[in-house]
Amino acid sequence: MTGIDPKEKFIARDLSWLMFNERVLEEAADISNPLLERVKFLAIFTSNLDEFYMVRLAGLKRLIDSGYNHKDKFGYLPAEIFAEVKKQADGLTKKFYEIYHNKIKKDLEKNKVYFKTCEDLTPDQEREVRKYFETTLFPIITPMAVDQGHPFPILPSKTVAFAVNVLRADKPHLAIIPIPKNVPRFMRLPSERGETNFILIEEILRTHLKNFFRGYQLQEHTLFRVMRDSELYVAEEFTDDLLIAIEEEVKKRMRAKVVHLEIEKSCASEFLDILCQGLEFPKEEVVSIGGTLDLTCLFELIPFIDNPALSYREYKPAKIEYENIFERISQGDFMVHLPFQSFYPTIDLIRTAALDPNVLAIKMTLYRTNEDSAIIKALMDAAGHKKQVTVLVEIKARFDEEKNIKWAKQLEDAGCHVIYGIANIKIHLKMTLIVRKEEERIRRYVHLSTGNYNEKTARVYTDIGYFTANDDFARDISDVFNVITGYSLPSPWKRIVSSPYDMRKYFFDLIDREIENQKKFKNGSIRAKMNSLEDVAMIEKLYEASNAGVKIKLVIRGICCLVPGVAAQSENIEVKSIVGRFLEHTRIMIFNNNGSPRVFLSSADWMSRNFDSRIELLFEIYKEDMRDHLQYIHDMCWKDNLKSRLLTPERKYIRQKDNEERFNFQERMISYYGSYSGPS
Amino acid sequence: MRAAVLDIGSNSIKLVIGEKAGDDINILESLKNVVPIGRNTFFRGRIAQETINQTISLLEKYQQRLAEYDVKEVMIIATTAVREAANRDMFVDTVRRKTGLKVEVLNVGDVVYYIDAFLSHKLKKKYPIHQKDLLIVELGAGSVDISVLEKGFTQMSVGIPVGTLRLKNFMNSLDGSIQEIYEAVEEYITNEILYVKKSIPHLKLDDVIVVDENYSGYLNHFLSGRRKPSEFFEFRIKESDELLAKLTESYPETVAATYKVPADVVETMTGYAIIVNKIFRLTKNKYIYILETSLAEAVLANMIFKLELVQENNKTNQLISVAQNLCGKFKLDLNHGRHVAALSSSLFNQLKDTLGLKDEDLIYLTLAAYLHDIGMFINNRTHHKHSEYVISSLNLFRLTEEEMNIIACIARYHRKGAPSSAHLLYNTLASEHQILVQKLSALLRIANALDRSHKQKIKKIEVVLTSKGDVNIVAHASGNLLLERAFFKDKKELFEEITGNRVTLTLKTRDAQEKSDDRH
Repeated sequence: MTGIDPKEKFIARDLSWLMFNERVLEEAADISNPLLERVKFLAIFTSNLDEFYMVRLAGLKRLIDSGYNHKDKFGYLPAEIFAEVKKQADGLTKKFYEIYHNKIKKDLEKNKVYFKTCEDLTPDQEREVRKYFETTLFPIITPMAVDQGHPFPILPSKTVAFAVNVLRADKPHLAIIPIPKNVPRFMRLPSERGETNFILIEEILRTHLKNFFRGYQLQEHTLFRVMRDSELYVAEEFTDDLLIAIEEEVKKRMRAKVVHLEIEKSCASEFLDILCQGLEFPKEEVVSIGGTLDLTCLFELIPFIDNPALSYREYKPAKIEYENIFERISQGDFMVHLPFQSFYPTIDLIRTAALDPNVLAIKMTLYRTNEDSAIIKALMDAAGHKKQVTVLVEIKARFDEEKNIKWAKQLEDAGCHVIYGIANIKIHLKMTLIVRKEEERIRRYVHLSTGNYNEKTARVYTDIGYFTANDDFARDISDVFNVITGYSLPSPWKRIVSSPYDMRKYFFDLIDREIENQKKFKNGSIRAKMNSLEDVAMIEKLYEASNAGVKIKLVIRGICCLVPGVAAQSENIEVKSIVGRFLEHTRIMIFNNNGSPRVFLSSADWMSRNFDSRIELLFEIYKEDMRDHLQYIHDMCWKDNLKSRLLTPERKYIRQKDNEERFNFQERMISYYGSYSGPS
Repeated sequence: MRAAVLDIGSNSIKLVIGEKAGDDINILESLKNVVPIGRNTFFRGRIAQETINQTISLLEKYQQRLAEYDVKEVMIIATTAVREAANRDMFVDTVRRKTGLKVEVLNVGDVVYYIDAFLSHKLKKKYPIHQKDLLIVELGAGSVDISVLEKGFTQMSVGIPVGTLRLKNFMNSLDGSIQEIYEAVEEYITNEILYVKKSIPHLKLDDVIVVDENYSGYLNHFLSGRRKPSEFFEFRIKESDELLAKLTESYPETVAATYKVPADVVETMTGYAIIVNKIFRLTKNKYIYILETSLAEAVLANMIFKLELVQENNKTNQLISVAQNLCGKFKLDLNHGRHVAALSSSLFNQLKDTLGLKDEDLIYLTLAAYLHDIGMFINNRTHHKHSEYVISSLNLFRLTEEEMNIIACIARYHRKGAPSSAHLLYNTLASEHQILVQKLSALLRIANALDRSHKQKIKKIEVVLTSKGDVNIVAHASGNLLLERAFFKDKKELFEEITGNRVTLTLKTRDAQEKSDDRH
């Protein structure tokens, strides 16, 4: 296989990601989805794309600017992939607006939801709008002049603003008016019964621009939106205090290089020149938008529309019945499949531990969590009850840095030992350890998960949480904490495998065994489910297994750089992606092992960063009913044909054929757990 | 019961937290971090300030773990690297001030004592350690601690300053071909180990047990046909040769890569292999047992199972065994020693309340009784003074330097001048220990007088206290007791001086019921 251009063997990571976002966009266009869910998909698409600009595109730009000119592992030079990515992204943006204007907006209108401009308001509405402008908007907005004494203002990433050209005594002046972020983008207008009318605040401002420039003559104006490089530059190995360093860097992010600029289509070319100069952005890369800028605001819209028929059918996450969580775990290991089952046992575990007089210590990792988190509150309570609480906070979780710093400080104030990550590596695994005194003996409880300790995403992401009181697990997990915190050198573990130490190799060994089994028994098989597959060494290994005849079925929601179904490369590999109501997030790996399958759960995807620069966890499930259940989950994913697309050898994601019986994995799981109390 | 041991070793600091689980220990936490105390001490003589700071910050972290498991029984031990550091006392004091933890610096005998007790507990079914004559070797980075056990009783323990780290450094300092260097190292070690052989010429061994936690786990990487060894396994002489050959066949990096062993382990493992090989040559055993365990675990087991150790092998009996062995080595009259010890012990038990003595003080008196004449080996003139310095230079396990000095002083004052602040060693003792020396040496003088003839005529003594607090010693004896009586008169003075009460002797002989009151 060597000597083949990597472009032939792999799909470049960024292109694959754009394909994923395209699948999200397709969900917005899919009329079988309820209308408001389609609106949500639109908002998700655009907020995804924003992040992509700020992280990936920014990274490519940095490479190009630095003069770096080597091919990446997928065979692309920086400029080459940048051009390709830009082309695809711009194409998707165009498609996005087509769907918004031609489909979503029209369908909303059919449901009597209207977006107005100032021109078509009723007198009542006009009065309300004027009042809103005068009492709310006008007082909080200050136009910023740009001239020799006033350089171009620093606009934070994702700011939408007006650039206005005004004349005084025949001399042109440029002014900037940012759209305020502390008021909703939409104003809800007084409406007839059964109707919902909205107006965007920039439309209100557009009409009232002259109010800001009395004594000036208003010339042209345009809305624009900037996106900045969001990478943090922390020389971690030279930093004594990671917390302070990251706080400083987050502040600097405001002034980082602009990596993406959108303007309204109507903007005049000379005016754009001035703008590009001010923002130091190449004119040829500017994206003209024929419509509303920054539609992430569609998220705000949804709660205003009160029509359950336009959303997914409500369901209640299935409860796991028990009286006391410690007793329940002591009775035997169990799993919770989110969001089909309730997240409650996880919160309950921490809460009960916080109040239980026999609990001595709680240790947990936190990567991303929600505002007003019950878990954080419970941890603070626990510290208040004189328990030893250690929290490993990964403050480098992207875009959550500021939030994480905030609640990490709260935890510290409450008396918790907070450890702010470690240099050069992200703590991505999710684990909790509780030390409890039971009749003068120590008993330890462990919770491991494929997903974050986040009550909000626990309603939207599919994940699996694992509860156990097995002391082998407890020892390993305790040791992982000791290693991460620098308290100890690693010692051999019994139940877990971890990156960046030996996870990749562990998987390779498992795959090698399947290759052996294929040779001996003709039954080599691998089934796996994850978010992303990007590690080139892993892909090569899978190709090797495929060539040996091992049957491989992968359910990969997001990035997949592997090309399946190619002769003499991946004939035995099939890849499908599920994009649906819930974000598929579980990581399950199943190796046939000559008929007695070995089943694993993991916090890691098969991406280089997960293997090499993150602390991740892989653990095997030994209990038969749980092993069976995880295989069942994978099988059901595989059976899905409503929300799945197959990746073809031609690198296209295609829907499955219509003639098969319709099967929706996620809906099936809702009803499955509805009458199901989980493995005992 | 839950307990923890913090072990400040030559190369690392460890924390082990364990809990009793039936007959076993469930290890809850086991932490280890590299701190180069050994490198400091062995090569620079003292522990660097930076290393002390590193130690303290690590101990503070470990204290958090202790809180997490609500551990109240904690022992902080330190071995060779701290023991031999010039700034040992300052180190111990700084650690105590900064962390509140009191470091106990173990000597060679202590280490062996813990290991022995742990071994007998751990191996009891597999291997009846107390029925064997054994050489137990504990291989450390700073020293090799060797002890000889006969049927469960320690005969001697010595620390030889040729630990793996020291050997590595020594080898690096030699300028010669690889072959020459190995020969030099072998000669060096041979001399050290021969000392053990010379000390116990009649030595006959059933087995040799090597205790090691760092290298045993890698043995199977080198030995063909060996699976990962169990915790306690037979290591054959052929394998020892094979190991040494493979370790020295190339550069450490190449060896590390070939046998998949960390390079830093290979560097010091050569020393390990040479020492083990040498032990084979000296003992002529076909195999030795390797036990993979750590000192910290052994101490932990002692803390957790302290009540369940075999009584007959307890600390007192172990120490007496060593004292008896010393009597042989220094050509003392063992029967006399044993008899004086028995008489002392009898006096002690009957007078301890009167004198305000604690049970644990008895061991000092007992050991002094066995060893009081040890100075005769040097010269019989002023032999009590020789006894003092000989005893204070001995190394007995589970006894601190101060305790050894107490014993030395008691022995010194078994004759001639009474304790005086003009005496150097006595003057170094804490004041409560000076009082203790006075009381115990007063008892030793009487006990020694009662066997002045070295013929063990007095079989039994009873103490009768009068209402005024005077002491009448009733001795049951046989034979001519003139000598004993004469010396008693002389030697009881110290007792009377410190108690202010009179002491009288009533002798009851079997034949004549002779009665003699001896009043002044």
